Amino acid sequence: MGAGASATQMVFFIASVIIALSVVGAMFMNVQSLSSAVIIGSKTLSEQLKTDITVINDPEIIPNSSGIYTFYVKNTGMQELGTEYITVIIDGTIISDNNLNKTILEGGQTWLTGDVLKINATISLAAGNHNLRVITANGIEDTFSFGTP
Amino acid sequence: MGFSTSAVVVIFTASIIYMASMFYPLVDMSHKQVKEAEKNSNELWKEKLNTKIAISNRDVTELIIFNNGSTTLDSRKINIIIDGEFKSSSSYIVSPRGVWSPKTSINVDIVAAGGRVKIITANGAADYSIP
Repeated sequence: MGAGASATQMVFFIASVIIALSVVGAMFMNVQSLSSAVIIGSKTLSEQLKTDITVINDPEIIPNSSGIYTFYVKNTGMQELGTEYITVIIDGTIISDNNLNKTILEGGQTWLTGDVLKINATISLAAGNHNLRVITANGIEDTFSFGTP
Repeated sequence: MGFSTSAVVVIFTASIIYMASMFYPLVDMSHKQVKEAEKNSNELWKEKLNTKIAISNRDVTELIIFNNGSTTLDSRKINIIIDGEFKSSSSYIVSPRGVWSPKTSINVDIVAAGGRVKIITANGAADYSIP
């Protein structure tokens, strides 16, 4: 009976340690995921807070050459931006990347603070008032109303 | 049975302390990062709200631009759009260059006479001039 009781206690001990370690392992995985999410979330949020863009065109005269309209967007924030994932919406319609040509004026490859991005958009616009929205990769946008003759 | 309970309590306690010691510094660092960004954002908006420029005089190609706000600007960082076209910094002359204090003015020579002129500061504040 004594040896049987010891064996039972030993089995209970090993089983409880294994279960405890499994529970701790699962908790650790969740904490790791949570830590990664917190880091990524705070990085995104801080980048968004430091991002600002301004469309600096003259709303009266938008350069237009054979259906290619030119818009100038200035990085007025504190965050350097990429130009690859800029979204341009004119009158509620997204202009596809094939119809956009983006160049950083007087700058290099990165859209730094103070740099002006020239966006050539190939689009057909009727005479009248229009609305432009430029959205950065991290979701910060500027809206600009302009007229075409 | 009592020994098993003790072992489980030790495993849980040690693990929780270890996880907390790993998680807390990351959360603290992230919190500080967001707070710093919020501070930068507030400074950015404060500067923007306190920036105002006015083109006070225009004589063919010479423009006098007055810093009407309470933010110190940098005259080297202005942009100029003439008749809708962005002009490179080499196509106009700004004087004095550099610090542009509140309640002072700068001169801009756009070299070639143009129509509508838009002057834009580094933080996006702008004013227009028509001949």
